[in-house]
Amino acid sequence: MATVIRSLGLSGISGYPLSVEVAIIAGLPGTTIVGLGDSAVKEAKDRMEACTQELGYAYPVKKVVVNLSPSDIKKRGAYLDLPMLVGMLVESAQVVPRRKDWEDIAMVGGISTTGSLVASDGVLPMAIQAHKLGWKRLVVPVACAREASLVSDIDIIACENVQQVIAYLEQRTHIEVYRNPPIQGQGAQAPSTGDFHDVVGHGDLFPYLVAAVAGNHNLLLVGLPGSGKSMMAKLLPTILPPMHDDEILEVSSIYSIAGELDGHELKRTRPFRAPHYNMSSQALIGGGPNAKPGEVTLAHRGILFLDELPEFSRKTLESLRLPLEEGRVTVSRVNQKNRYPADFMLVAAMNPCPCGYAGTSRCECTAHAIRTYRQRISGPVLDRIDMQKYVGRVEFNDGHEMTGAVTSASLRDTVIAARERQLHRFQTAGEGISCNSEMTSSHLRRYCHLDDDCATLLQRFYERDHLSVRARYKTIKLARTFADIESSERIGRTHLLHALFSRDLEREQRHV
Amino acid sequence: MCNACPSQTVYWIWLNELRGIPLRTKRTLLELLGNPEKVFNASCGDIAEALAGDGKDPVAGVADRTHPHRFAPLWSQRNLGQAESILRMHEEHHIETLCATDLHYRNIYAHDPKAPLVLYYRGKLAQPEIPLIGIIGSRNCSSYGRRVTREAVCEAVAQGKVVASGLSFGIDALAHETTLALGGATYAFLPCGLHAAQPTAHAQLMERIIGNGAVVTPYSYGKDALPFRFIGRNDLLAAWCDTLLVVEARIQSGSINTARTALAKGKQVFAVPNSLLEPNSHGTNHLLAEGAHVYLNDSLLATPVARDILGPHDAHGMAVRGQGHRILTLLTEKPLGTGDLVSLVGQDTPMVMESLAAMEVADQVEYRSDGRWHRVGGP
Repeated sequence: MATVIRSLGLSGISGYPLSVEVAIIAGLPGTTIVGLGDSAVKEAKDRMEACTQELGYAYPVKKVVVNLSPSDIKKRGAYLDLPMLVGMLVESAQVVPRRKDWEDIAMVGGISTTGSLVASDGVLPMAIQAHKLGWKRLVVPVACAREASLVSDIDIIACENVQQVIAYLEQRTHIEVYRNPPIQGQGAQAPSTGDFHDVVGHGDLFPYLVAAVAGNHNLLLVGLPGSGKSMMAKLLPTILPPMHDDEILEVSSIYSIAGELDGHELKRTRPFRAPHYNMSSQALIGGGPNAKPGEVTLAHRGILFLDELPEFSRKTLESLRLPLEEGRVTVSRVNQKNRYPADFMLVAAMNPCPCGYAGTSRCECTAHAIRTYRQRISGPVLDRIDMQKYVGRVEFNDGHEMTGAVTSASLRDTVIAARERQLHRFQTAGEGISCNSEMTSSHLRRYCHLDDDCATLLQRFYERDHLSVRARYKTIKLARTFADIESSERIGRTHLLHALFSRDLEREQRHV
Repeated sequence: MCNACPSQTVYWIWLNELRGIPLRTKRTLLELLGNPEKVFNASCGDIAEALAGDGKDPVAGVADRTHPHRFAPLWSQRNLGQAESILRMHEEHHIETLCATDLHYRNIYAHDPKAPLVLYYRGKLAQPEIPLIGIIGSRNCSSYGRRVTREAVCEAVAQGKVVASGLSFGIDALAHETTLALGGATYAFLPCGLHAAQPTAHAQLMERIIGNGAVVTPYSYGKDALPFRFIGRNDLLAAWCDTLLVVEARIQSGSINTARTALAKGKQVFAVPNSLLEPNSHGTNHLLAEGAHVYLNDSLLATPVARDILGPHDAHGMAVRGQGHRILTLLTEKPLGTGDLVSLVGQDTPMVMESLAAMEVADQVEYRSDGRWHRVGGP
C-alpha cells in the first residue's frame, strides 16, 4: 500500500491541501514524479537519491512512483522535497513512524543533498490553510518557523535537517513546539518614519489629505519641483488607520508569497509601495513566468505611490485601470493563472508642466507642451483619481519656522474616527463595503442625500464645467467623506464646497 | 457651388489651381478675357497676345515679348481633370465654392490684389454688409487675455457683428466658443483644406461653427496645413475683416503678421495693452506704436464683484459680496493661498470658500498650479 504524507500547495495567495503519495512497485529502477510538477519538482528525484545516500539509507532498486494529488493543479518549487523523501523512506520500510498521529502531521520544506532542510516562500499562507483545515501539526524548516508560527492554534515543528524529522516521527526525540518570540511593542502602531509635524506651509492641504485617506480616495498631487509633494505622500502612512487581524494575515500572506516578509514577522503596518517609473506593466500588475504578484497586490490594503506620474510608460499606466476599478487582478500565464487582491489607495505626484513651473512667471512651456504633458495621463485613468490637489510653493516665513502646527497623531485620530463612522454606517446596513470611495450609485441614493441648497450649488458647477456623471458621483462621495470627518449626519454646503475644491487640475483644464 | 455662375465653377477652380502662371497674370487674363471659361478656351497665341498687348506693366511686357510662347507647353496640356475631381470631393462633403464674382467675395477680391481667385467654405455666410471683427491672439494665453476676449466678444455679438478667428488654441478657440455660447455668428479661417480641422483637437468645435457660421479657406480639399498656408490664411483673415482685435501676441507670431497685414490694407486694428514685463504681450504693445488703436473697455472694471452665480443663498449673500471686495484687494497685492486668505479676511473657512467659488465662476480669480489664488489680470 502506498504511503500518503500530508502537505500543502500554493495557488494565488492562498494554500490548498495536497497529499504526497509514494508507491514502490515492481519494475526497472527509477523515479517518476507525476502531478504536473515543474522542473524544480522533477529534479527532486536526484536530490532524494543523493540525500538518501548521505543519510545512510538505501534508495529502492525498484520503480518509485510519486503522485502529488490533486494531480491536475500545477506545482512549482522545491517545498515538496521533504514529504516526498519521508514518504519514500516510510514506504520502503526504512523508517517506521512510531507516533500514533504521524499520518496527521503535515510537512513542507526543501532538502539539500547534505540532508539539511531548505526554506521556501509562502509558508504563511500554507500555515493559514492548514489551520483552516483543522490540522494540528506542521513540520517546517527552521528558517520558516517564525513565519509559520504567526498563525495561532497550530503546532509548528521546526526542524534543521531530515534526521530530526525522521527522529521525530520515530519518536526517538522530542521537539518542542516552536513559539514565536514576543514582538517588541504593539506592531499596529504607526511607523516612526517622520511626522506631519515636519511639514510647513501646506496647512491648506491637510484637510484634503485627511479626506483622501479617510475615504480611501485616490489622490494626485500636482506641484512645482521641490514643493514637498513626495515628502507629503511618503508621510501618508503615518496617518493610515491600523489594520484588522484579517487584513494583517491577508497582507502578510501576500508578502510571504512574494518573499518580502521582512524578518519573517507579520506585516502589521499598511503597505506603502513606491515603485520607480521605469517599471514594466508586469512588475506593476503581476506576471513573469510564474505569475507572481505585482506592486498593486503588494500595495493591497495600503498605498501605491507613483511619483512623477507622467514619466510612467503609457502601457504601465493604462494597466492600472482595471485594478483601480475592481480591486483585484487576474494574472494569466502559460504555467499558471492566479487571482490576486489589489485593493489599494493610489497616490500619485506630478509637475504641472514639462518645466515644472506652470502658474509662475518662470514657466516657459507653450500651451501645447503643457497639454501634451498632461495628456500622458489618459482621461480614463485621471477620471479614476478622485482628488487632484495643487501643492503650492512655501513662503519663506513658513519655511523658516521649520515646524508645522499639526501632528500625524492628531490627523490619524481624525482619519480613524471617520473610517469608523463609515464602517459603522455600511456594516449596520450590511452593505459589504467599508469606505466611501467604494459606494455605488445605489449607495449614493441611500446615504448621500443633498438638500435643495446643495443640489443647486452642484448643479451650477455641473452645468458650468460640463462634468461627467462619474465626476458628479465622485464629488458627492467626497462630500460624504468631508461630512464624516466633521461627524455630520447630513452633507452640508461646506462639505460640498470642499469636495468641489478637490479637483484643481480639471478646474484649470477647463480654461486652457 | 458658385451661386453667381454655376457652370463657371469648374473653370474657376481650374484657373485657381493652375500652376506655372502667377496670380497677377491670372487676374490680368480674367480682366482681359472676361471669365475663366474664355481663358480656358483661348489659344496659346491669344494668351500671349493678350498679355503682350496689356502693356500696363512695362517690365512684364518686355519679358513676355522675348518669350512669346512661354505658355505653350503648359497651355497644350491644360485640362479640367483636377478641377473636376476637386469639385466632386467638395460636393460630396458639402463644401461650397466662392469665386471672385460672388457677392460675398467681390469687394474683398477687388480691393486686394493678392486675394486668391476662389475660396471654399462650409456652413452659412452672413449677409455681406454685416461687419466682421477678427479677434485673434496667442495660443498660450493668460487669464487676462481670456477675460478681455470674453468681454470683447460679448460686445461684438451685442453689436451684431460676425466674429472671425483662426480656430487655433487659446484666444482663437475662446473667441469662437464665446460667440457660439452667446448665439452669435462666427467664421473660422483655416490654413488647410476642409477635410480636417486644424488643429485636429478642434474638430468638434469646427462642426459647431459650421452649424452657426462658416469655416473658410483658400485651400482645396486634401491640402494639409503647411507653414506657408498659415500665412495665406492670415492674409485672407486680414483682408476679410473690417476690424481686427489682437488680444495677446508675442513679437514674432502669426497674430502680429496678421495685424501688420491688416494695417497695411488700411483696416482698423485694435491691440490690447498690457504690462511691459509680459512677454506674451510684447507684440501687441509694439502694435500700438505701429499705428494700432488701443483697445479700452471700462466695463471690465465695472463688473460687479461676485455676481450671484452660485444660487440663492441669501443668508450669506451680502456678507459674501462685501468679502469679495476685500479678497480682490488682497489679491491685487500678491497671490495668496486659501489659508492665508482666511486669516487675512478674518472670516471662517467656509465663508471664504463661498466667496472664492463665486468669484471663480465670475472669472475674477483663479486657482493656479502654484497653489495660490490669483486675481485675473493681476500679479
